[in-house]
Amino acid sequence: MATRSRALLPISFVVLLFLLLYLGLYLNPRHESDDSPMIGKLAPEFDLPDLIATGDRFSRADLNGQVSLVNVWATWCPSCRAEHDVLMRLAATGEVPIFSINWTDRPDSGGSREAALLWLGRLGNPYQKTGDDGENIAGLEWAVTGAPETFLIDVEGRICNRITGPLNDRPVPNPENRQEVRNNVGNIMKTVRKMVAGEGKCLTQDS
Amino acid sequence: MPYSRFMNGLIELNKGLRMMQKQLIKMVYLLLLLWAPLSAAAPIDSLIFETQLQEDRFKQLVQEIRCVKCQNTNIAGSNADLARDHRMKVYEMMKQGKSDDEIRHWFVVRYGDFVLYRPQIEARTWLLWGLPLLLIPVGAWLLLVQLRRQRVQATEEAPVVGALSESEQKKLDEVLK
Repeated sequence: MATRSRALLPISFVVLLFLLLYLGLYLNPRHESDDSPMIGKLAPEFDLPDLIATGDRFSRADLNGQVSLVNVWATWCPSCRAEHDVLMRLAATGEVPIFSINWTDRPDSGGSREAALLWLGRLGNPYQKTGDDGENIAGLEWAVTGAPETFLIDVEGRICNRITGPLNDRPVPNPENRQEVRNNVGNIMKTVRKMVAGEGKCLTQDS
Repeated sequence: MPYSRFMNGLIELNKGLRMMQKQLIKMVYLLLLLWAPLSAAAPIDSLIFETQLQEDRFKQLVQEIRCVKCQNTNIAGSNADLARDHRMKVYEMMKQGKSDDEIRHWFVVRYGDFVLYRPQIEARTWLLWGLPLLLIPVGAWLLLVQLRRQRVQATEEAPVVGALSESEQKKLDEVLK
């Protein structure tokens, strides 16, 4: 009897430990590993030379007063190439303005400003404005961790969402593939339409 | 044939030992290979520091900050362009006279707590930092209880101490012969 009660403590401890392990592994995390603390905050200040129109600038002020997307891309990035066609189709609908940051397209990454211009010339330009951020200045402020990355910005210039990886416009994204669902243009546009129908502000988590 | 069986056994044993030796050498090589990138992985930036103290601070900080591009290493050990930009940012902020905490804060507001290898001490992390300290008194208490119990047992069952009996002595002599 005494030995049994003595064994009870470590056994219950181990059971508790496994329970915690299970919760940690199987509970759907509210925060994804690539969730950014930037979400919900105002987009950072930045002021970049316009890639195309010399002398013009692309800055924080361009993002006020409308719901928009800010796409981060580079010519050395193969997924950006795959995403470009998707962006062209989205831009053709005219539903949401897309801005972009041409990020670290510098020789030591295997890109250049010329390559970026050639890219837009050949493949088409889905962007209202593109900032030239060859030196990763705005990139550090926006906490860009890789290309492609897309930010959803509300009417006040707040970051509603940060989408890492290429966007897709599959009619039915594979529900097993979390990234494919999250990066699906159809799903993103549902959010955009809801925002535009309201006051244009970021939707809260539960709506 | 007990003799040839014995020899066979020896041969088998020798084979086994040689295999083990080979495995061991392989392991040593593997360890060397694993070690090599660690010693070679110090990316070269030509940064100039005014004082040794500043250089030490810089080295400490880049050790603590995670590379957000290649997330299983710090920015000191990564050759990613982004890690280099981050090292330069640390350097730049140090030049501006920012404190270590301010520099860490710059990273945390952008990339989250995840970016620091050493979690900061704050309201949300007290359990993480405090648990080991809490467990020390718990362990000490358990040890005390156990020791006390043993002492009680020891006094209850009086141990047999004393000279050996004649037969016991005989047995002992036999064994030690």
